[in-house]
Amino acid sequence: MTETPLSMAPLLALFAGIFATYLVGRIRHKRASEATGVVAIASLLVALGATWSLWTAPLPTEYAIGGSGVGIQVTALGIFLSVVACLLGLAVAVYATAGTDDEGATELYYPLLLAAVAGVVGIGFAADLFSLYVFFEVMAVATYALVPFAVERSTAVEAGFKYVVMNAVGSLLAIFGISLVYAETGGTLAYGPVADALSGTTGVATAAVLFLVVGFGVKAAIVPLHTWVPDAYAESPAGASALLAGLATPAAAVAMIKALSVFPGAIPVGLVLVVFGAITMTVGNFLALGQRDLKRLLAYSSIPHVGYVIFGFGIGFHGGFSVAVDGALFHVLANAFMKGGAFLAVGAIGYRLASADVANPRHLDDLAGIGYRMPIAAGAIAVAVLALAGVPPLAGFWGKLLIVVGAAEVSGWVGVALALLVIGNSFLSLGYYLPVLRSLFAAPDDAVGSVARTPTLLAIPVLGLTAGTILLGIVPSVGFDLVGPATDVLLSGVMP
Amino acid sequence: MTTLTAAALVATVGLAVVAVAARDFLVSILSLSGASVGLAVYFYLAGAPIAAVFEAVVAAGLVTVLFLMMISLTDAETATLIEGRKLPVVGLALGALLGVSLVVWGWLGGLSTGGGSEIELAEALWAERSVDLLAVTVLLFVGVLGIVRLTAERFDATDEPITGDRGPTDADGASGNTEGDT
Repeated sequence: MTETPLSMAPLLALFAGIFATYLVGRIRHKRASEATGVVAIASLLVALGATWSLWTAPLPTEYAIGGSGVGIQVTALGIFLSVVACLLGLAVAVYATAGTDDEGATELYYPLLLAAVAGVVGIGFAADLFSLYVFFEVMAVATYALVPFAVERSTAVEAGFKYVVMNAVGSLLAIFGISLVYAETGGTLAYGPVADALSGTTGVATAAVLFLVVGFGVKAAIVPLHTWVPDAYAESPAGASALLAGLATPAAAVAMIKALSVFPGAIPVGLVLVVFGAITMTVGNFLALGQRDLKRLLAYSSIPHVGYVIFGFGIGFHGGFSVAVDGALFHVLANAFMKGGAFLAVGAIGYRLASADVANPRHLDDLAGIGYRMPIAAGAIAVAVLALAGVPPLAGFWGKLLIVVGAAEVSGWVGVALALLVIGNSFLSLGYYLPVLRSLFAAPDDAVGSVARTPTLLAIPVLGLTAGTILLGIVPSVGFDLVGPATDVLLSGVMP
Repeated sequence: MTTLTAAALVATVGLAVVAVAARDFLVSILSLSGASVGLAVYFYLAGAPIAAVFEAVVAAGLVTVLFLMMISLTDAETATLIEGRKLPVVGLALGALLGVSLVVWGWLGGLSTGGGSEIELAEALWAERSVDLLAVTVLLFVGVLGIVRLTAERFDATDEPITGDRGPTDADGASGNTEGDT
């Protein structure tokens, strides 16, 4: 394993960005808000560039400040998460420069945004279970403040309160599970040694698995721990919703899998994940059916997508089918573009309709015909929902396909049933995605027919994420180049 | 497993259950904070002082302060209680945060053999967990930013409560400096 300070560069760039954006945001100058956005974007670009440099170097690499102790270890999985986090973070930061999200508190919004991204990068780079938890908390605490960022709205505060309560209890359970591992292994938390130390145990290790699944599962929104999702996603600023749905929630699922990857084969981790994944995708889809508030619909539809990811990991762990893990990770990548683009586009529409004579700017009936007035935002939503439904050749198709192929590899009728479950859920999702398309491109009424076009600053990140959704679908090899090595890392027990 | 270890684990689980089940917000928050302290004690007894310090400072301290600030923004009876004594409550919460960390820090020193154990612990923190220490520093800073945001202003109490299908909302309709249309 190569030891290089470059391993720290993505995290240091983001940490520096957190403090720098706060300081720049505090400057009393009429251009301070724009300057803060530029600093945030620069920080994300540096982190992305450093990640690219690491990607082209021989992996894994490691680094500890001072040269000893637990530092960070950069594997292909860490690179994967860093790329996903920085790309989506970049889109959200560009979107935020329009000033529609920060409620006038620029000096707080950007640091929180960068901290959420840094937390996800840290989850990927964490060298042991405790570091994983620390970075998970960095991500969680940042989003605790982002959800109720519009503190003057009671609905946002209520959503934030529900989010904090549930996730704080989840964090407690996760660290409890890690403490059980610590006790069982006699004080070891590094991935490789933990896997060796746990190889002869089942009792305490099984309890630890359950604590980790439930603890990380709250943030990952697995059913029945998903109840915070609709309010939190719907009440957050658009950029924060995009970060939560496209990054934080799937990253929590990856954190869970990274923690679970150290447990021995005697514990049915894969089976537990398959069951939770199947329940989550099915229940999530039924919950989304019939929703007429577009943002809540997208929020509910995030639940089944976590289900697909967990299900894919479960199939992979259960039978060692790397194709299913490939599918799950590809879906995490695609989800960042699809969900990120959709939430940002909904935010752009909401921004325009806020000044129009529309009863409820998020209700599908009141959005009828918005596609003719705001073709970029509505077109982005159309591409996103088609991709989310798994329609080829868009990004959402490939992940689901590989998960289905992985499920079919399970022997006998069970494999066929599992594959059919994923396919059936994809068709079920059309039941709530198609009405969105119908509404966006229906005949507009007078109020909608008079709204202005999508603001340019909001359109740029929306177009970028939509282009990513299409590109990943047409040229999936771009994604598989990232996903394949990350899968190998996960299936080999995270660290060599 | 010693009696003290078992007691710490039982207290952690018991208080976590109370945190979820309690109808009073304050009882819920304080129970969760207590559960974190129980877990911190367990970490120390299990030989993980670094995890104990983290759990006590971040979970028992910072998250508790965030909770109190969050509740002060709601319309609950507890919020009125907190709102009326906002400064003392913030001070108390921050004091509790500092107190818990100092007590845990001092306790670790007290229970360890020989003098200068705090220095040893600090050295161990930096030498063994430098990246985590950096991350916790960022975490505390971010937590403080969150508290600053949550204490910014009270919401308009005339807003509608959250329901599945509701009327107009300005969740995405804040004013901005967008220039040009596309």
